[in-house]
Amino acid sequence: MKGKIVVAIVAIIAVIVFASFAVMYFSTYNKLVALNASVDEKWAQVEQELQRRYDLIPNIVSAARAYMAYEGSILQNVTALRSQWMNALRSGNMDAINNATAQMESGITGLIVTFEAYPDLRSSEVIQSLMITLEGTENRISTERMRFNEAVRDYNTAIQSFPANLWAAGWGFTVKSYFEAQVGSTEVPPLNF
Amino acid sequence: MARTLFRRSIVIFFLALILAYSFCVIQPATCYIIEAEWVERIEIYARAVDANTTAEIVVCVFPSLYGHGVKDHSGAEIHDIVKLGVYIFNEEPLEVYDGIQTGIGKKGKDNGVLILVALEERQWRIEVGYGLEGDITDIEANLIAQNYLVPAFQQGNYGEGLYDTVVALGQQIPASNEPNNLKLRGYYYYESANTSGSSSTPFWEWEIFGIPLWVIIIFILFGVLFPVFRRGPSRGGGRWGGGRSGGGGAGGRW
Repeated sequence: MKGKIVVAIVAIIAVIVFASFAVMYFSTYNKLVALNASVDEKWAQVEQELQRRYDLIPNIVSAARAYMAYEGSILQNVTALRSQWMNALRSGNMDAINNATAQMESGITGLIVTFEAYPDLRSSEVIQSLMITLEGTENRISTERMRFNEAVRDYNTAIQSFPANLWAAGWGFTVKSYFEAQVGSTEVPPLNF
Repeated sequence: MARTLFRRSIVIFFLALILAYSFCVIQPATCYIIEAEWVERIEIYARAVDANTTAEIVVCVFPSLYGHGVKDHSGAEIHDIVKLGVYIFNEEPLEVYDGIQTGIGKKGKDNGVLILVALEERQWRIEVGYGLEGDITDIEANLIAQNYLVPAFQQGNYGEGLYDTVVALGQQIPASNEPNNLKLRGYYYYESANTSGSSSTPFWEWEIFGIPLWVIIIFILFGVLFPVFRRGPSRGGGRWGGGRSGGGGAGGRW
């Protein structure tokens, strides 16, 4: 009789332990899925804004061409950086994207600095509008980039903390790279082309 | 009986103080920078826009980009006007007439506009919610600010400049065709209390939103003793969700 009660208690405890383990297991999985989806969603936002910048560049280049006949190389440089950067984006490799974005950003900043030397160009309405749009695009990119990085941080923290760290690799969740805000990207880089 | 009431009133007083401090880095207008007359006109016009279009145009005046106490996730005060605009637009809990709302504009519609000015740094910023980026493009936002805000601000006519900017932005927003049963925001004008100065003044001279602390204490005590006085917004009540923005709009200096 007594033995049966003990067995029953042990069985109940075992069931409770197993059930809570199962709940923890599945809720951890679900949490990681949600965080992973959040990272993807924010990356889509970043890509959308990068695309906006990408689409803007040909307009700027063609508007500037008339004024910058003698400095066509600058425009070519930006155009080349643009395609290089699009390739990086397509490859999906975060290091390549980071690298290409940094070059792109310094190229654009350089272009804007060059504009300063052309008063006619600067006062051109088309260029002014494009510059405002470009500025808005840069603000959007930095905002979405910040949100993406926050989502990555939450995700990385989650997969590295207990108990998720025991299973994350098995489920295929790996540490994700940040989309770095380039050091000094808010400063004006020297003209180097 | 009287003692419990007294004890309770003290507890409630401190709770109220804590609440007041936790929510109120940025406050609805109690005007000490912009003339009350203009603030009222801004409120009336923005409320009409809210009623007709459901869009929320919010004006936020900062004496300076330093010492305002609005902090990012890492706990550092935000000094960049673009980042500050994005933060206030999306993450700063702001008092509205029936509680606290985080996010300017209606949830799901993302139809908010934030006009942010920093007087000392002479910087302006118009942050446009996702849902209005098509109606108020960056170029239009810049044009409106250049035409209305900048010239008036250069002359020191802050109230006029802000009002004209609000009206010009409001005219860009199309009327809503859907049946409108969304709640009005109620408050549209905010000023940042500059927190940097308050540490050096003794507490009996503290002012919260321009009202001396002792007046507030008396009012709160009265409010506790005579529940008749306890009307107004239920702090911390519903309405957490609002619209979102992502850095769209324009900015500059005057």
